Amino acid sequence: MPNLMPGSIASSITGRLGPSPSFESISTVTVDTAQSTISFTSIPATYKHLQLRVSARSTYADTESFLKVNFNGDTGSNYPNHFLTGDGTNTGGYGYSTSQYAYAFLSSYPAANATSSIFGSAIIDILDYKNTNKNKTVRSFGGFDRNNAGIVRLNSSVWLSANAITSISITDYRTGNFAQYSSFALYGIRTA
Amino acid sequence: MAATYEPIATYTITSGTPLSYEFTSIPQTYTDLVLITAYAGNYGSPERSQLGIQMGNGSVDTNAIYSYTVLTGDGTTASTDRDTALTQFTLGTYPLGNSATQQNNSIVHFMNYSNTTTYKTLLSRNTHMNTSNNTSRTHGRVLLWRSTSAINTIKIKDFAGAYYFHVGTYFTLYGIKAA
Repeated sequence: MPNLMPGSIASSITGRLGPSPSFESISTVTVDTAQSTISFTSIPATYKHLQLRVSARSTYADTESFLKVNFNGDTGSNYPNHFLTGDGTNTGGYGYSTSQYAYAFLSSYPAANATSSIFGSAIIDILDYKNTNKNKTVRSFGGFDRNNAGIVRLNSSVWLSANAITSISITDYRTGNFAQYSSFALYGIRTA
Repeated sequence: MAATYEPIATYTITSGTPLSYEFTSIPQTYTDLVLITAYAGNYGSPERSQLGIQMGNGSVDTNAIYSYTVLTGDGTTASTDRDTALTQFTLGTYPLGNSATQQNNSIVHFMNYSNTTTYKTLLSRNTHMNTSNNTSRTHGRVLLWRSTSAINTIKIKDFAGAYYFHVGTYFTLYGIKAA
């Protein structure tokens, strides 16, 4: 099949044919037994952007939990967050400064009290991840529907660091584990 | 390195008045599917219709096991809605009466579509463009198909089954592989 890079950034339409693969799989973690942390390390610096595609569920005793993402092991107060939500009844817009989050707060997914077999999804774009001259912007589109309840989330965050991103650590906001069958697939997007 | 984002099939309307299109025998060799569409409805009334989508394994599932939650922006306000016990998804409204050159777009992500253990969650972004009366809007939508069957059939249709697609409409299905 021809190599193609359409829609490689979530919600974008642009695309073009190219002579070499432009959207490449870097690594995938599929959870066989519940685990608390998903890590991608030694991320190659050969791409322009990264995309993380998530299908997840938490073991925590609630109906919803959230993705916490840290870069390069940085758990300092370096992650402003903003998000827009709609749950079928109410919309909301939220903004938080660095004093409130020590991680990128990205999307949500069902937890143990939600109907079994339902997993949330998120597409997370990490833009210009290896640039050493600017902070790193992250955005995600995700959420879940659980039949007569659900939530849509548009999140953005910035990691206030000019370091190139070489590792990503993902944990559950409510301190649960990622349930069996959760999956995290990291892709690299090349530029010409 | 091998390509991981591959086109599976494209359907472009070049003539006729089709009300729907079905992708069948979708390979099970990918992790996610992405459907990219550009479409316009035929001239007529009412002002708008909705793009519908169904899926299944071997045939289209018409049971009332589709539900969704949506976040919408229309340039003035943000709103949200949800619906359940549907026999098909709606991806969002689109205007009828636009010319074929004024198309609407939807990108739909079928996450983990081939697994047989979990229900299927889809993410969709949709634009409803209408330059004639300034009623354009954008939708972000999360959809749930409460089936553990692997998806190998996808049907795209006018929600009401009443308004055909313009020439120039296309539906392209891609597969994304994982390492």
